[in-house]
Amino acid sequence: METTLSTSYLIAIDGMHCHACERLITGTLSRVPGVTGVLADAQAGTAIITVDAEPDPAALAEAIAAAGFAPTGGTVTLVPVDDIETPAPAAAADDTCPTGACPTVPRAPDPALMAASAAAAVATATLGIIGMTCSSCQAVIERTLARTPGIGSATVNLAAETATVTFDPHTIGIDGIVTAVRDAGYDAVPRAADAAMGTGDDAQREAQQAHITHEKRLFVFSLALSFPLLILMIPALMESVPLAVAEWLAATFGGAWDPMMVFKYIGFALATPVQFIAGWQFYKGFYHALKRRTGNMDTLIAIGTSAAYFYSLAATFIPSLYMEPVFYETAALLITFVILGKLLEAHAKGKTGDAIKKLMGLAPKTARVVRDGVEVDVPVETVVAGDTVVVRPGEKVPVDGIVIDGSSAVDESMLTGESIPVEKREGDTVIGATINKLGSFRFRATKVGAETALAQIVKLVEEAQGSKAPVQRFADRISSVFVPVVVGLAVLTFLVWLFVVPRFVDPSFYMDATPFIKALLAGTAVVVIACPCALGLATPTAIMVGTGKGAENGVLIKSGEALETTYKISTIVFDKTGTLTHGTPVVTDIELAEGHDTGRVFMLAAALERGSEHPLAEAIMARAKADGIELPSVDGFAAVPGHGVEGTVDGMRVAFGNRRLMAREGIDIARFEERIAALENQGKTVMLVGVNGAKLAGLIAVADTLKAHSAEAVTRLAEIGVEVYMITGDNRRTAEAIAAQAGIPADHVLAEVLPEHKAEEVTRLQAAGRKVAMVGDGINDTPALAAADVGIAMGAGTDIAMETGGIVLITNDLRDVVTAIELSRATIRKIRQNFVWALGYNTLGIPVAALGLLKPELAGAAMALSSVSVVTSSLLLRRFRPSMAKSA
Amino acid sequence: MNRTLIRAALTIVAIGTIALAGCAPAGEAEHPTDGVWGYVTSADSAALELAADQTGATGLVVDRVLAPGDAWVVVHLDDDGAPGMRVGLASVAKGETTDLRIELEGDLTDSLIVALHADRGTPGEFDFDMESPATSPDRPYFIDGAELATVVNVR
Repeated sequence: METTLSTSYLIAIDGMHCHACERLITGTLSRVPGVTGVLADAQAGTAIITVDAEPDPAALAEAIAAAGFAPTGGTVTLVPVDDIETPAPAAAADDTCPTGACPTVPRAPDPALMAASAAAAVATATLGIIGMTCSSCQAVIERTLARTPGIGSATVNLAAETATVTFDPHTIGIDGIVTAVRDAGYDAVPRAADAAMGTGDDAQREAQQAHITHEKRLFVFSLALSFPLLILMIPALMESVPLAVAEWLAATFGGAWDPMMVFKYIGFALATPVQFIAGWQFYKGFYHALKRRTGNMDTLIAIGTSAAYFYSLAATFIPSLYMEPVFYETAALLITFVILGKLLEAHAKGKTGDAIKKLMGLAPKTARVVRDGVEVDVPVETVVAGDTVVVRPGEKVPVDGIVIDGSSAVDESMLTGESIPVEKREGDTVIGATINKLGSFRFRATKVGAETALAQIVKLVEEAQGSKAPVQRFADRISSVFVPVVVGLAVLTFLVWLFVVPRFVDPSFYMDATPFIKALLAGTAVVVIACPCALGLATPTAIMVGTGKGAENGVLIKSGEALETTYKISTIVFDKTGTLTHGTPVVTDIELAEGHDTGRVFMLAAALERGSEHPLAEAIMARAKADGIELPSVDGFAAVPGHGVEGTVDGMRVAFGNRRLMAREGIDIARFEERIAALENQGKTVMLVGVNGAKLAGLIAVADTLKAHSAEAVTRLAEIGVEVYMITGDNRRTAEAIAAQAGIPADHVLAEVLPEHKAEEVTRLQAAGRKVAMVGDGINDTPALAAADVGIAMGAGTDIAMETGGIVLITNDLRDVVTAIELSRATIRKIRQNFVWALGYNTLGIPVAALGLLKPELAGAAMALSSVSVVTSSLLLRRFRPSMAKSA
Repeated sequence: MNRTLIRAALTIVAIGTIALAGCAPAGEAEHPTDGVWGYVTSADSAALELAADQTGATGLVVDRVLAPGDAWVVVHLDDDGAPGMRVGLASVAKGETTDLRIELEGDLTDSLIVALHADRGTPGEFDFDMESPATSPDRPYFIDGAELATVVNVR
């Protein structure tokens, strides 16, 4: 079966019932400019469109409306569909509308529909999730989605509050996935395709903001009611307030009032709204978790507060329990503190995504383009590839492109971390969102919208932040058993206090409480203190900050796994050409014979090399061009294979090549032999210039030179305990020469390795028990990058080899390799610290609570603080500074 | 008030709440008493009117009783100004009762204390334990912080 690979978006559409509806939608959508294919599915309530240009949501909405339907939610939300495979068409589908309400559409051969009718597709969508409180919630959603028919896999990120779902769009649509999440007790919103650029209608952000606003109101509401409850617990007020209220009641309504009952009624009146309005969310979560036979933070809070509240309720209204005390303030304060904790956590969590927000904020809103010969300011979304864009001093470059006129220095630090502005001339690439300094230039837009380097970086970082690091499995495993274990512990605590302690402990230990009350309070405190919320945040918050920090420094970490593996790296293998070195030979040395000058020798050599495409010739030509040397014409040009080139320049017979060419021409090079050997030992290629068949005019050495900071980076890597190897196809002498310059010992040079054997060398190092990172340019090094534990691909401006390796360096600066390792070490250290914070609260808190030494409301405050301290600890990662700052 | 002030105020209240929660008495609260350990009522709902001198009688006559609910008129010996052992008891229905006669039993002190108690326990049974008066259902009524009671000279 043949398959085609396409770029597609999924749109959720309301109102489709049958294949007639599908045909209508297909017909109207396929007429929208840029749409090359439509795959409508009435059952799933979706249409997948394949486009060859940036789709226009407004035009798509019009087309859907023209067919008599409406996009789900009223506006078109484009969900990118990755890796959609569309097999060949199969059997025709049923046209019968089950409702009978759909219009009859004549059957017409429609290739898109035919493909659609039986296609088996796999789509991936990201949803924003609202209302998660802890890692148990994450597990509930993952489990719910995994059990939903049509969903292949689902990964939920607690910190980013997203779910990445792989699904079959023929079985389930986005609305079906949203419904499944809602059934689990949470809310979900599809994330728009252009949200990555911050230009789209970010429904998730709005929904989350609305959720936080709602929580804030609940907090103020419950604090307003809980605070008087707490005040009532002050001994002096505990007596006088109920008495005053009882007197007021007697004077106002008559009758007789028992102050003790008035005290209980006040507690009931204040705590009940808190319990059932502010605390309703916990009951809802508890119910949904219970339905799925699982538990989460809501379970524990609902159990804890209900124990305190309903016991108090009984003590208030059952006459035989008249003498029993009430704990309304415990229930109300617990709910208040937990909501406060959630708010603080949301506030702190918002900051973990600051780096990505900062990246999104870099994108300029407008661009100045030349339309019909006139410069006009247009919204950046309307810029299309091929537009001529004008950039003036101080302005941001709106999209990616190639300079066609003018020159300037451009500050690319926001994307590369490189603080020195980069010179841009005609033919150079400029990247969107970078800042033009003093000059003006025009460029031709090559990549716009979601294709720009910035959009790609944002997408990549978002994906990384949504991914799970293997270390999180530890947290997930603990969380999954935590709730039942905690409930069991709480019950055990209750029983021990009720039945065991009174037998062995002096009653004075209870103070004024009865064994039952002590048991109730201790059990409640255990339930509350043991909530694993902080544990679920330990890994994802650190990864969000870590990957964001990487992006700020030009290091794109593609997944949590890559970040974690980088931490373990003990050996780094650098590709030589293009990685340690510039990858382009340059003229490094010129030695002249007596009576000759550089300009003349270069003029002779460059004139001969003018027509050649040999890399060494390019180096000579680049130097001649840079020096502004005028090249005369050549007569009688001849290339001598394996020797060099010769011809007549300005009436002189010139030979330019190696020793053998000189020997063939009978030119004596004895005087230069020592110098030639020295240069060759440095890994340089020496070419000799002979004039008139007798004299050697000079020699030109060409070499692929080490990048400015390669040696510095290698030294630093050694300092931080990473062994450095170099791998190359070059001969050993050249390889060792470059390695020596870089500070790599000769026994760590893997020379004369063919590209196809590089992966084997990496595997060999791994076999010796090392964790190996391979650093390459991502093209011919791909197998080695894939074989390594971590592949680090070197990017080059907009031409980033995004697909290769676990880490992509935006620039070709090897100091970023050091930064990547340091960052991964800092992040993993932070994750471990977070585990200590999270588990510390639980492991210390549970025994204290079980011993009856912790009041339930304080347990609630401590639990809330544990989440806040974990997120705050992750935020400290924002202070990470690479040891090799790129300011110099 | 600007947002910063509101935030600051909320923060102070929240921190104060946590601190107070930590300082609040452990376990549950004592029952509020403040000297008032019975039922609080007003002069419009409860009253006890009788002659202050009823010497030589074997019973007392209460001219008017106003009760906020079913109640007991209880006669105690005077134990140095505090109600002592019970020597007389009569039930009254909610509302006004006049010319209520209460028979007295046993040895009497020179003066007696007549008090109005609620009948909130088992109806028709005087559920009042002198050993734990504050937790008995049939506790006395209080008006303006004082027990609704009158001292009567009987000798």
